[in-house]
Amino acid sequence: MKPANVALAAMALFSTAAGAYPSMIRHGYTQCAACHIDPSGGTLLTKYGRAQSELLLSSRWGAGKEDEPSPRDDFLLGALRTPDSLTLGGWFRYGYIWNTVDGTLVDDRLLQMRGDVAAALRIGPVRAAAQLGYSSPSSAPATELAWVTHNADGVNLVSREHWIGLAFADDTGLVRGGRVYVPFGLRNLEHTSFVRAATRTDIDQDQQDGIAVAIAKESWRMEVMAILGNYSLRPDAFRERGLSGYLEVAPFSRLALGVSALVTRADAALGSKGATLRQAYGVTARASPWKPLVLLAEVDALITTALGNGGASAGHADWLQADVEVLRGVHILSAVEGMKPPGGGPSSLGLWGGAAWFVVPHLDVRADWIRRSTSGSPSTDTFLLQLNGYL
Amino acid sequence: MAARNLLASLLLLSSIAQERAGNVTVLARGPGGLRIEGKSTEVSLAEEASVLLFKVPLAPIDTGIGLRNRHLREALEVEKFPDAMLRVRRADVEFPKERSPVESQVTGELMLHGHSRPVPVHYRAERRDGGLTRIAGSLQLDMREFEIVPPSYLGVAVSPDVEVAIDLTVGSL
Repeated sequence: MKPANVALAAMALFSTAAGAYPSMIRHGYTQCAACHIDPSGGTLLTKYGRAQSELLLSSRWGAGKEDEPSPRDDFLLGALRTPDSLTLGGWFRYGYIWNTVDGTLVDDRLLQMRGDVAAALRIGPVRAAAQLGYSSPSSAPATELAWVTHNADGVNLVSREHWIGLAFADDTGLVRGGRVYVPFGLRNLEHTSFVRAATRTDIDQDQQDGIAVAIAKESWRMEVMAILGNYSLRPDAFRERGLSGYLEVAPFSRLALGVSALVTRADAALGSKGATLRQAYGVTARASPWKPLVLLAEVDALITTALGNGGASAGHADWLQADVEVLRGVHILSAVEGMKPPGGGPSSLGLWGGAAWFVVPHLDVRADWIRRSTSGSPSTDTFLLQLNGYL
Repeated sequence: MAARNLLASLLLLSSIAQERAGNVTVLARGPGGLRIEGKSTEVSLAEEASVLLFKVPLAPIDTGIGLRNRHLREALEVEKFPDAMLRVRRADVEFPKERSPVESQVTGELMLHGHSRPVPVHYRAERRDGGLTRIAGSLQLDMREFEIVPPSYLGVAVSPDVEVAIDLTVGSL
């Protein structure tokens, strides 16, 4: 792989991230809906979720463990009061990245990764949410599937989600339509992991327009979505249509096991340009056998069929991560991942190591080292520092 | 009078069954599948003349979040009502024999938050080696029947229905 390509790939790999913490299972939170507006997690925080950020995630700097969270946890540090029916939030994220190929530095630069604001409404059974953000030219490779405007070489508005829905069954269910996060697999932060990239279910730009039904019960949760296409993508032939969903059961308060499936068809696949049927079937596990330790695993079977000539090919993508909270708010992270893409491409192996520190509520710093090796290509090492804030 | 109180205390102490291990789990639920589990290892069993008296101090119950523990203690008014007690008439209980565990249901009287209410209790008891007896019991209660206001925090309200499970091994019954 040419160094320039590595740099471009890295740009795509490490742009924008959101706030999804499936590792909250260490605190007995097997469900997402209490803390997130999206019942499957990863998006705008509820007021309760904001409080958990201080009570459970971040260093507390002298606050007693039974103290109420600070009023500064609210939107814009509490400067703007909102009615209970309105939830506001936002994200900013910057990073600095270094890429090496066979030990030679080929790229280093500052990354503007995310700048979004979001709002959610809750009026009777009606629920609605939307995000609107800024995408710099440098983040285009990881945002263009969510663009509202389409300036190929310039700044763009980006909207990862915008939907309206109805809650039912005492708020345990939600049916909604619009652009939503695709329900599949672990909704992990590492949006560049093989499992997210290969299934095209990352939390940055892989949302789809469609109709989804989610149910969150005490010991299980599920969401299924009829995918009607990504309407940020043009022309229509590129839009994938189909179904996606997951079911996760939690037999214990610190163990959750899930299955996922995704089947979509596009007249012109983004890669091959031919009519393609894409399938992914996955199993997931989240476990916290010891409170400081969380294990997250996902194994996905990938099947791609080129329609018209009958050619089907299979592959897989896998992820195993360990998250150890060594001190309150300080996490050591490591992961191993593998991928064999459908179509006979070379296998890849990835190793991740790093640390994250939730310094104060809604502000964290993270350092990652990622080594990726692909058969027949030089290995790449990436170092990334990130600063992530939630408004 | 002091001697009489001392004697009464000694009699009560001597009648407390010899607990070896115990735990209490309190399970409450919230919206969106939220599950809140409180745990404590402090549970005792005392025998009065004709009743078994299970006593659970409420302050040590740990829900995993310090602030949530405080809210629980405030909701239960633990300073005024420090214990939950369950009285079960011995005559209503079927006791296990060697290699013959029993599983049944009995109506007990639950004293909580200054109020007493009859509650159905499901239990399983079995004899263990060394003369030990293991008792596992569970009951459901509605907080409102004990004039406890179900806690609500930042838009997340706990359902008034709560499950309680007790697992206790005692030396003698």
